[in-house]
Amino acid sequence: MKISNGLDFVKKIIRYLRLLKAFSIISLMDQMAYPANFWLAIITKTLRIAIILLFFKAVYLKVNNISGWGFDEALFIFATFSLIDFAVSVTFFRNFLFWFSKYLRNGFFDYRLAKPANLQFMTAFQAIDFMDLTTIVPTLLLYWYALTQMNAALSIVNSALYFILLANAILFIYSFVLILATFNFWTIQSTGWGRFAAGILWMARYPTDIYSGVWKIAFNFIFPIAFIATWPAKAFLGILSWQNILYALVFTLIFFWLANRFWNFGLKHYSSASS
Amino acid sequence: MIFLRKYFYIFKSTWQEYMAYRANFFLEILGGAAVSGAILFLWVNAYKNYPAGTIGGYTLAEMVTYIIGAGLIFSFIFTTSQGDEIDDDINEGLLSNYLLKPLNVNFYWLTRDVARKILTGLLGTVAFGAIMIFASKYLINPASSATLAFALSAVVFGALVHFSLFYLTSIISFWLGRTWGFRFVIRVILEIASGAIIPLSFLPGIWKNIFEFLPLKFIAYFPMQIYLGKLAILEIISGFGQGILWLAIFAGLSRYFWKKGIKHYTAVGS
Repeated sequence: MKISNGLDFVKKIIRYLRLLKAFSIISLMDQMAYPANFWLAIITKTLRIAIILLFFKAVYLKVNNISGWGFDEALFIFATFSLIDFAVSVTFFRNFLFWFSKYLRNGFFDYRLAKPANLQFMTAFQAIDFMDLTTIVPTLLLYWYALTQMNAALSIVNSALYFILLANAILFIYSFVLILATFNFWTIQSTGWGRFAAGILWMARYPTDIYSGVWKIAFNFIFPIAFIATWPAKAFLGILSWQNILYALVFTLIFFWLANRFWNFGLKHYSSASS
Repeated sequence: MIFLRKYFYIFKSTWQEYMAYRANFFLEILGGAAVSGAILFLWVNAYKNYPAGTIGGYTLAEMVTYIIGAGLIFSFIFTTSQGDEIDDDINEGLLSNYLLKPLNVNFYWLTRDVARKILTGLLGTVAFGAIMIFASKYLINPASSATLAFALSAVVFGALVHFSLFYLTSIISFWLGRTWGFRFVIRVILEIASGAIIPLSFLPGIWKNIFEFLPLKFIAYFPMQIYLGKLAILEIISGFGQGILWLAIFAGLSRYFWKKGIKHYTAVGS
């Protein structure tokens, strides 16, 4: 009985991976329909990383450190942010916050309701953004530069914690984005939620130690954008406490659970917007 | 007069149309304000190591004023996307309808752009107003009403430069089909080259020279330099002179591409 349950689970995973493959192929065909735009977008997304790098360079040309973070450490935070940004941009970010409201308006979502697959999965991964795929190259270059310049002692435990907190960051953003996307069941904004979320998440490009007073508490513990890049970077450098690591993991799990509850609530109250 | 009235009605109807999306625009601007807020905190922390001094010729008060002012300007310019509408009008054949009407299509697009910029400017003032309250102790007032007038005129120049750039990268749709990729390039470059997130004088050598030469500086850097009193009157006049020259170049290019493009334009369908 247990073996058959296990086999069913594996079959389910394979089925969803196949679905993901199909979504990826269709997305690539769609994005390549205008090749000039496709290649320009790829170049530009890489350029965006270079521009932020230029910003950091300009700031650190004038100052030695910001809240105890030197240029190389700040770059390591930025590299971490870029990796997370890459992961969420390629997968669910735009699906939830740009395309979902469009599908609600044009009735495509209703059509999807009848499909024999998990609705949240289909909404999250419908379009895989291949134009963001190449941003991994400058991100890895950033890592290479920051790591060689920092001269930090590599530790297996800290590296493992770093990767755990990276996965945690993706889950945190997924939950945040899922909550914002759920509002679309009532508000049906076009691009507002997406640009709003991007702005909020971009704040995590900088060390969250720059915040003071109530903002420090807010961005570390209440709406903890610190989970996205600063805390993983601190874990890698061995300067994040065990209590904070535990807090990040538990907080994100509860946040994910709440986001799912909210999604289901929104879905239950959804009435078709299309004709 | 009839000419003006016609565009006034277009402005009015566009305003009403966009008012329906005010929450959407406001959310977009809030996202931009959050980024400006983070940059503010970054600078406030950086200045802690320089308690009595300046960084790159800016005092903390000047830097805070710069970041908020440039962010506000950028928020209402950045969120507008008349270029995408022009692209749609050309590619979806809607342009044919406008060509049959007694109006200048280019003025029609410009009027819509102005309506949207004014609306997002007002919404941006609300969003950045909150930041201004928090940062009120640092904010600097303009030295005189003339300074303010010059700075506001520079913002209008910046808005025209912005429209021209996006217009040009949209009408090439006559030949290339969808052209959002080109506008995406400009949007990303604008983030730094307009001076929206950092004064251009802070950038390393070659980049500073390139961006100070390009017309993108008119969007945020030039107006804020005037506002903070960092430019002498001759530099202001020379800056406006450069702006006029750039706008003339854009106007010439626009006229050329429009004339060629409209001959190339075809629309199918009912």
